[in-house]
Amino acid sequence: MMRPALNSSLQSFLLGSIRRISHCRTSQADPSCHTLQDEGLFYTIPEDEMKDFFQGEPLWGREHDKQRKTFQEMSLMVRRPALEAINCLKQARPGFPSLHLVLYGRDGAGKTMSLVNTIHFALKNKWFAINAGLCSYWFKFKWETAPSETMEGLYNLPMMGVQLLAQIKLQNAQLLCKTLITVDGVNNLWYGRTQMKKLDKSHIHSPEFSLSQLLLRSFTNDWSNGAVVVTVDRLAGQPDRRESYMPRYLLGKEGFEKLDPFIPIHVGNYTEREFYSCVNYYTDRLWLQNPAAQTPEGQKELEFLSGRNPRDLKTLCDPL
Amino acid sequence: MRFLQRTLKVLLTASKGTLPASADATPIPLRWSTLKVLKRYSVFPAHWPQPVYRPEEQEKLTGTGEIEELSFIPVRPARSTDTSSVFHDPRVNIQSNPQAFKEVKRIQLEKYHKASEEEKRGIELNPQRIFHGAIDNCKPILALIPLKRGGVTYQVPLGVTEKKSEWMACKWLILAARDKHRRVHFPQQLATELIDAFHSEGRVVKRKQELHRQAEANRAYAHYRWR
Repeated sequence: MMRPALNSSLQSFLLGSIRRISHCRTSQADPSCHTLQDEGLFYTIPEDEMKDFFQGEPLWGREHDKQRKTFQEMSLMVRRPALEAINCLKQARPGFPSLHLVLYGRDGAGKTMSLVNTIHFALKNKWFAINAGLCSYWFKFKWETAPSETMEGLYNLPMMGVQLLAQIKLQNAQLLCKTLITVDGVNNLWYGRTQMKKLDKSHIHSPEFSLSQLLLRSFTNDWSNGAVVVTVDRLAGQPDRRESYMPRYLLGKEGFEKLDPFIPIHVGNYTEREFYSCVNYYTDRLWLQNPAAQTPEGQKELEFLSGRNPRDLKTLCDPL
Repeated sequence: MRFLQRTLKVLLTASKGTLPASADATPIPLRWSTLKVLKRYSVFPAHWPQPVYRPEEQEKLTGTGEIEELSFIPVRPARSTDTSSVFHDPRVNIQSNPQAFKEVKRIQLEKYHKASEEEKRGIELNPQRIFHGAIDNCKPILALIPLKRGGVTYQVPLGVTEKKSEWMACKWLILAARDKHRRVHFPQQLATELIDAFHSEGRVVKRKQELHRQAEANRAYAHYRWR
């Protein structure tokens, strides 16, 4: 399913052009038309599509939501993991059993944004999408709970359930050919003991919620004409399980077997081309004000200090 | 700090590499970070020269040949804030808050995008320049010192040094930023104070002006300084 890599001379030519003419955008706003030629460039989600597809609770973090307001637009970088995931979704046929894609990578490498790119593709192509968002949110805090009436022994999270239903209703106004289910930080479904308690004062474990059971049920291969795209997140998971970012470690044996067979997609740090494109984008959005950040030495320093990690780069650029 | 040093000394003499544990428990290995002895900068003799950590200054010294002399004499160690980074600014590194700079950019960019074309030119977006401007606008030139003369304490106006006045400006900005609603975060409030001070408005500049007014009113006591 991987597309052939760009040959090295073309890549160096493109990299040269990015450095020379502070070029960071692609005019192609349709994610299904992106190719490896657009890799590393930013595309903007039009305002009307933002209103149609991404209403309600944001699928990205609070910090990125603030950044979106400051930049006055929602732009995503076209990156290889998202291209690969979209390519996989394009191959899905009505007869196929549901596809499972797992995005994994280091902290701040862009897993959530690759997922958002995939969701944008799906909604634009009239898929029916259920986006659970960051499900760590459900289990990390103490929400109101109620015993489920339909499912014996399970507990409801009324507030979260209403939020999810409202989001599904808002996002899927015009429908629908295939089904997409996305979860950000899926390892949270095997989170373990939560702060919420049953009537007998014992703690509720995360699989004992009806919401998690509904998601877990969709991770089987016995339905067709759809896909499940999830990310595994080290920081969103349990505090005592942070030694590796690999899916087998984060999901555990149970979770891994539940999702198996899946296509793992590695989300890495920026390449050199992507890094310079991102710096150019920040400059374009007036986010980099320090004159030293425009010099080759300054950019080299940023590259070295961040290790080309997107989140680290953002943190370094914040006070500049 | 003295307490810490004393404790460390006791620990090191008592255990030689391991923390003293009760007889039945296994000894816990002492980590290198715990062994590090903290020292103040004043322990270094006054005749030791200051460290030269900026590449451009080093180049200048190389050009004049002074670097040859420096390489054979003891030099004070560089502080943890001294860096050869291109983004280094001695005034910013010591006293600033990176989160506040981010908030400054947020506020100014919001204004910038709302403004018309002519107004856009007048809006300063660089947080570093805003910071420097704010400090310069908040620096007092006089301060009141309580002096006891003939059983009465007088608030005597005095000129302050550059260093002291900069310190006062920073302190006032921090105090003003702490005085906020509990829902507002410190960097956010500091950002608004910095922007206000940059435009010579706000609470901190008012405090400076109030101090100057008080010093003007007490000018009759100025001679108490020399008695």
